[in-house]
Parts: sequence; structure tokens; C-alpha cells
Amino acid sequence: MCKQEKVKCIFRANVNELKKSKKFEDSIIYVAKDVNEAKAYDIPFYILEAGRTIDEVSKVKEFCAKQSNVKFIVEFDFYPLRLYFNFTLSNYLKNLALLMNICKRRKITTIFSSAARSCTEIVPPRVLYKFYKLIGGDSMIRREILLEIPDKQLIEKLDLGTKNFW
Amino acid sequence: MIHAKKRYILIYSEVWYFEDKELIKTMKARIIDLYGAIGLQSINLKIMMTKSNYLIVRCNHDRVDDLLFIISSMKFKNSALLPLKVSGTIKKLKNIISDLSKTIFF
Repeated sequence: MCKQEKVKCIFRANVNELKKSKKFEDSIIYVAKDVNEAKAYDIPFYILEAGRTIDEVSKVKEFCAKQSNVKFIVEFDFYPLRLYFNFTLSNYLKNLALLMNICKRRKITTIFSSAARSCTEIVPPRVLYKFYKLIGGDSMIRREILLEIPDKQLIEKLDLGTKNFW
Repeated sequence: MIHAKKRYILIYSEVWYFEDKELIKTMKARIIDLYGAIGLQSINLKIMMTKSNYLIVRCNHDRVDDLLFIISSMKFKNSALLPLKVSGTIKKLKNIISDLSKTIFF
């Protein structure tokens, strides 16, 4: 619950939660883990995860390129980078860069998260910005990102919460 | 000869004991994966100190962001490494370690 009444919280929930509740709630933003989940439900606005594997990223890439009505934003997670080494890492990053390129061309909003499962896996905004630059993001400068975040010291030090449905 | 500026990074991990040789090997392999051999040379990585869960590494000041990215994106013994603080002197980081050791962290 929010301590201040003026601040409105938005919670994340998996699109499968729609089955249970059967109605949209303003305070919830729905997240599709892959393309199949995104196609299964007719949601006015949702977050689409970029994918953990190279195949998943390729499918999201195709989905973003073909979709006529863009009603989603793409979320790039930092966590999967820890799973890859050598050629698989470079392949994964290459695919993410191609997806980022499509997002830029089609003007799809992208967001970046650490996808931390524990407090030791949190990634500071400084590193997330490096990730954004590495996969080809060029529309924002570092100063803008760090100024947009209200209390970066807090974000760098404290747990932002885990993704339960990862 | 121009004296190159250095930066020290304090890292926390759930691993209790770091084997220096194994750790430096893992870190160097990760740097080569992402930035290649030239990147490894320009980062100029050196492990300065390990103490229980904490680790201090040194790098060139203009490649701090690259090294932070590498540290955050790697795992050592199935545990993620969390960069806590970047400083220009090792003394400051040692003070932080002693302060953190006194209080309960996380």
C-alpha cells in the first residue's frame, strides 16, 4: 500500500492472471513472458519481455516487425546475460541489438530491468544504461536517465523487489 | 611516462572465500568475451584485496563503466557479483568494508 495518497502504484502481473480475475484493473500492468502469451489475450496495453533464449528473442523480433497495431512495450532483462558465455553470449547480444533496432524503427518504447531474484542480483542504473548503449540504444544520454530516476542512491542500494513469475 | 588514473571497485558476493587465480581467470575470460584482448589490456584489471564476502578490484578510470557491466553480468561459483562502490582510493573502500562488517548488511 502507498503511504502517500497522491502517489499511485502500478503493480505487475502475468497475463495468465487475467484468467482468474477476468477483468482489467487500472492499477495493474500485464506482462507477457513470450509471444504466445501476448497473442492469447486481447489486452489494451501490456509489457512484452524480450526473452531469455535466442529463439525467444527471434520470435519477439518477428512479432515486433509484423504487428500492425503496437500496443505494447518491450522489456529487456539483465538477468539472462549471466547465463551465457563465449559465442552464445555474443549471439544473444547480437539478437538483442537486432530487436532494439526494430524497436527504434517502429518507435516501440523499451524499458530495462535487472530482473533480480535476490538482493545480490540488483543492477544499478549506471550498468543498465551501459546495457542500453551496448545493444544500440542512442536516443538518451546518461545524464537524462539518472535525472529521471528520483532517488538513484536508493535504487542503487535497496532491493526493488523480485519478479515472482520469472 | 604519463601516470594513468585508476579506480577501485568494491564488490560483494555470497561466496565466502575467493580463490584469486580462479576469479581473475573467470573475469578475464568474460572481458575477452565482450571486449576482446584489446579491451582486456585497456581495462588493466587487477585484484587488490579479498576479505570474506568482499572483493576490491582496480581498473583504468576511463573503463569503469565497462568493468561494472562485466562484473554485474557474470557469475562466480553460481553467485552473482554486486558492485557496491567505486572510489579513487583503496583506503576509502577498506573503511567501508570495516563499517559494513560491524553492521548487518542486507
